[in-house]
Formats: sequence, structure tokens, C-alpha cells
Amino acid sequence: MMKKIKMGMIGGGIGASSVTHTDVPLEYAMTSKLLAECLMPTTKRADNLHKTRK
Amino acid sequence: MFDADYEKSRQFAQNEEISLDRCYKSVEELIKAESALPSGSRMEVVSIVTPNALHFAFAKSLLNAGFHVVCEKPMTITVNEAEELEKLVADKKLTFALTHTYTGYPMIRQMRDIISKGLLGTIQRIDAQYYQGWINSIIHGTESRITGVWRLDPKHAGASSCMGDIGVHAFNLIEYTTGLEVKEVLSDLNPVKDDVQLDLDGTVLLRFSKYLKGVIRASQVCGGEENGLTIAVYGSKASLKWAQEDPNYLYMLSDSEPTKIFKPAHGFNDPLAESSHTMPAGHPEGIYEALANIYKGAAKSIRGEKFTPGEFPTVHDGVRGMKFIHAVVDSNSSGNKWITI
Repeated sequence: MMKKIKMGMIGGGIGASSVTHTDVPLEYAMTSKLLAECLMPTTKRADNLHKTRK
Repeated sequence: MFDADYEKSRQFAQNEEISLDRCYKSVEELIKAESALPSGSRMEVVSIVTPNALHFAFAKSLLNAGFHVVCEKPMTITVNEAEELEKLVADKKLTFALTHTYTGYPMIRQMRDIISKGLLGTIQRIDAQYYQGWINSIIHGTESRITGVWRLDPKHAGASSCMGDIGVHAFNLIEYTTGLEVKEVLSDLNPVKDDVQLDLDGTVLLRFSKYLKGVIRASQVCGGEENGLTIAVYGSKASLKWAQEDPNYLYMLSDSEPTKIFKPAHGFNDPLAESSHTMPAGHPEGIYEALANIYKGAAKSIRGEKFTPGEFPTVHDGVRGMKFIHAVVDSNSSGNKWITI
């Protein structure tokens, strides 16, 4: 199984990037099996999305 | 740490179901607390998505503490800061990914592959354009609305608004797809209004070599434009054209053959381009997947796995971007002179 990576995040409330305009990119990152145990957003939500994409 | 306001940060964490004991008041606290955790539960990488002026200090602190970094562009405020980060990344042997998101598109990766194989012949002309219109409504509003936008404030944005925010994407795409370096620039920038301190529009002439030149056009005041990023590379045998708002089609033009259209999810594509699309052919993917592809490349690097050059923009791309931004600003302020990057 692919090693999961734990990621923190600084910012997000100011609209600095496409990541902060919507947190969906990180969800997609995780659904693409990239960062499936990030601190943000939750593993639970990512797991659900991942199942959807399977 | 999701907001300078701790209460807002906690609310964000709660909404995302993130444990509040890992929601920190400051970057210093984040580094100290996470560093104290066992390696199995400690964060490994941090994504910095703050206004530009905060990137350098946060990235430097995180790298010095041994954490990998994903960072928004432009990477820093000054060239010196960018070069310091590049040295630090090399010294610490850590991963640093810069989110020039558009390099994650499959057809941009395909473009890079086609050019690297010499299929265009001798490259003779390179044009890139990034037009937006969103600042129009802001600059024609009240003074408070202008000062309320950090991208228009040099203290937060740095030396440039338009070129620093979107012109640098066009610059990055040119160097990414062609593998060439811009050697000299001559710019004509426009703040559009007296009470705006930074450029909101501009044109940059590019020199790569004696017989290869190009142009970057960027604007935040082209009313009605959204994220109109395009790139065209013209060669002696063939040319390539791509547009961000229609990202799944790469056009290959020729004087002697009908136009070819490359699309994702076909076996004849470059392996990196092919691995950058997850759905069967004909199911359009877009900006989310492009960003995810950048993270995917960074994740491989963090894990110590083999990855393909070009899977994610690096700290060196950040240095190049900062040199471009400052050369463009210097050219404009010195009376539109050629400046070496």
C-alpha cells in the first residue's frame, strides 16, 4: 500500500490561491491517492471521495 | 493554522473535522508542537497558501525544522530570498514544490514532450498570454476597496501585481514546455490608475537567443476575461497551441499537413502526460486534477520514490520566477530597457 503523507497547511482564510478559494483540490489530491492522510481536510471525507472514484 | 485570526482558524478546523489540538495559533507553535510528535504521527510537509510576503519566512522556518514544503507562487518577495531558499532546500535535502498549477495539465506535459523530441524543428517564436478582468471592478470602486486587496499592496504582494501573480505563470509555462531559458526582457507595464501602486497590465518582449524571440502579455483589467492563459510555440516544422480554459486539447499546426489534436488518455501520449489523467478518454478533467498532479509529484519526492523531472515545479523554478518578476519591473522603471535575467 502506498505510504500516506501527513500534510499541514498555513493560510487558507485569505483566498491566496486556488487551494484556499476552495479546498476541493486537496480532496482531489487525496482521492488521487496522493495525500490520503493529510491533516486537512479529513481522512474520513477523503476516504469517502476515494471510494466514490473507485 | 488556517487564518491569522485563531478563532477563525479553529472554526475552519472544526468544519473540516480536524482535531483542534493540531490547530495552532502561530507557525512557531505549529513547528514546535509537530516537531515534538513521534515521527509516525508528525506532519511531514506543509502547504503555504498565504499572501506572498509571508512565503519566505514560513518556508525558511519549516525547512530549517526539517519539514518539506509546498508553496504558492510567487515564491518570495526578493530574488535574494528565493536564492536563499534554493540553497536551504539543497542543504537540507528536502522537497520543495511550487504550485505553478498549470504544469500539472496532461496536455502541457504532452507539449513539453513533443518539444523535447524536436518535432517542431527550430523554435522561432514563443507567445504566452494571461488575461484576467477581475481587478476592474476593484480599481474602479472606492479607495478602501483598493487598499483592502492585498495583491495591490506592495507590502503584501511584492514588486508586482499582474506580472507577479499571472505573468509569472506564463513565464513558467514557456520555460517548462520548451526547456529554454529567457535571457533578456523588455517590459511596458501599466498601473491603469494613479492610485494603484503596482502594475495591473503589461507586455514583455522576450529574447532567448539571436534568432528566437517572443512575448508575454498579461492583464488583470481585460474585462470579461477569466483565466485566459494561452501559449503558442512556433517552430520551423510545426507549432503547438494550448489554452487553459480548454485544457484537454493541444493543437499541432503545420504548413504541410492538416492540424493534429492531442487529447488525454490515449496510449500514444508521453507516459507522464498519460499518467496525469485518471479517467477514460472523453471524460474531461481540469484544474483540480492539474493541482493534484503537482501534489502527486511532490508526494513521490517526499516518499523518496523515483519521479519524472517536470512532475512538480521546484524551488529553482521559484528562483527563475522571481528573477523574471524583478527584471520586468526593473525594465519598466528604467525606461523600458532590456534587462538580463
